[in-house]
This record gives sequence, structure tokens and C-alpha cells, in this order.
Amino acid sequence: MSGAGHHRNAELQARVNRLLDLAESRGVITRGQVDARIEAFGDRVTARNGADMVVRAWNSPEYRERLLADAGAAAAELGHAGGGYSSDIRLHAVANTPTVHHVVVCTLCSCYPLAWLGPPPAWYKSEAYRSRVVRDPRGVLREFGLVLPNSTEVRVWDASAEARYLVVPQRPPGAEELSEDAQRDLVTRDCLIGVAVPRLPAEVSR
Amino acid sequence: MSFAVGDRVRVLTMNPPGHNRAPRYVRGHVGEVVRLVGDGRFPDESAVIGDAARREDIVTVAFAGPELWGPDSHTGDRVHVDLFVSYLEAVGERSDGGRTR
Repeated sequence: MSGAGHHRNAELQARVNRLLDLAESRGVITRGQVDARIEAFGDRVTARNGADMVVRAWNSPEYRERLLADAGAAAAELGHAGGGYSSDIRLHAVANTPTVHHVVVCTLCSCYPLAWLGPPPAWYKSEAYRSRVVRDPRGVLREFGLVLPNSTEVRVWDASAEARYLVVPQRPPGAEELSEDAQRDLVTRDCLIGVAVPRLPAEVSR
Repeated sequence: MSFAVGDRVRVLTMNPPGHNRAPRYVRGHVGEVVRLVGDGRFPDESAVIGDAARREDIVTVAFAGPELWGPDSHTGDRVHVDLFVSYLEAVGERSDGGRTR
């Protein structure tokens, strides 16, 4: 699915520039500070944070238990404390099993576990994804290339209040042979949202 | 109003003029409380008066697909929505013949 509204980018950019000019001229923030913030996003606020937590949970049953009981505290253990924009934001991890698959959405706006997944993809914010994944999750997942058995329960999490959701995918068979670093590479952003599942490189290239 | 895990609840049918964070697709529908989230600023108020808004409990309610979308929906689909408790009413025995599914 592609995001809607790309034709509005020029208009949006003009508005952003105007706001930046105003903020700078009034001493609210400098362009340098804005750049530093964006850089921090690119370098530190990425889906590697979520992948870190998932791989630790794959390899440590104790960590997995802590992650599912209190994901915020479990994130902080690995140095991935959310912090920042609201102390009311609480992270909650939901784990896939052989019979249950989880997927995350925000139907009212675009609530997203940004601190653990990085900036959201455009499709996550699109009206198409937000309206359809609650009505027909299996159909939407199929469009992402994820075909679930009819017997699998699909649990959609609509993050419309103070909680943010992180999907803990299952470790694919064979991945236990890999290093933790290599396992982390399997856990993509889409796996953490729930529109994909980790696949071994051999499977991917098939 | 406070709820416990396992309680059956109905989202109020409402159309308030201001900000509200009960998604329209669950209003009027019945689900089960599956998790107590904690509390947060009540958005209907915080949209107007910011941090002075009262705090209120939030619960996660699970709705079965067919309850929300009718018989075409997969019976194995469940949608979970975090809802402030004043959006909810307890579902018990009803004597008025109303929907109690």
C-alpha cells in the first residue's frame, strides 16, 4: 500500500519552512538544533531498538517474561527507555504464538511506538491501512505478503489512547543457530508492527 | 466507574461535539475487558484545557470480529481498543429486551 497525499509535499514543505523561519527569528529553536534532533532519530531511534528487545526475549525466557509483563521496564533494561514527549505513554509487548498473530494500528491518528521502532512508514499513517486492518486484517496482511492459516487467531491492537504496542514475533526455526547480531537482522520494522514475520535469509531469497 | 479483567462492557453510543477518543467503529458494541492499562488525561477535556484535565482509567477491550463487522468477519479475528472508562457501561442482565450479545 502506498501513502496518500504525496502531491501535497511542496505545500507542506513551504509551511514547514515558514514555521522554521518564525521559530528561528523568535529564538525558539535553531535550524542546527532541528538537524541534531533529526540526526538522533536516524542514528538512535530505529527499529534496532525493538529488534534488540525481541532477540533478547528469544534467547532469554526470563527476559521474555519481563518484557511481556512490563515492556517499558524491559526496554529500559537494554537502554531503550522511551522518555520524552509524554510520561503517560506506556509500552506493551504482545507475543505471537503458533496459533495467534498480532498486528498494530492506530485508527484515530497515527500513534506508534516511535522510540522503539523509529519514525513510522507512510503506509502506517494512510487512511487505507488504518481503516482496513481492523475490518479485514487477514486481507491486509495478505497484501503485505503474509498469508496466515485460517485457524490462526488475528489480534489487532488499536493504539488509540496512552499505550503503544510492540509485536514480539516468533523466532523462525533455524535462527537459533545464528549469532544474536544475525538474529537482529531478521527482526524488521514490519515484524514489530505485525505485518511481516521474521524469515531466514534462505527463505527470503526463495 | 471501574472495571475488572473479564467484565463485559458496551461502548456508549454517543456523538459529542468536541474531541473524543472512542473510535466510531466500536461505539454501541460489546467487548470484554482484557487488560487494565492505567490512567491518563481524559482526552475530551485535555483537548480543551490541557494538563488541567482530570485523569481517568483506561482499559483494553477486546471485540470479536463478527460483533463489529457482522457475519462476514472471521470468527478468529479480535480487535483490541484502549478506552477511557467513561466511554463504557457494564453489560449485565437487561430487562428491556435490548441487545445483550
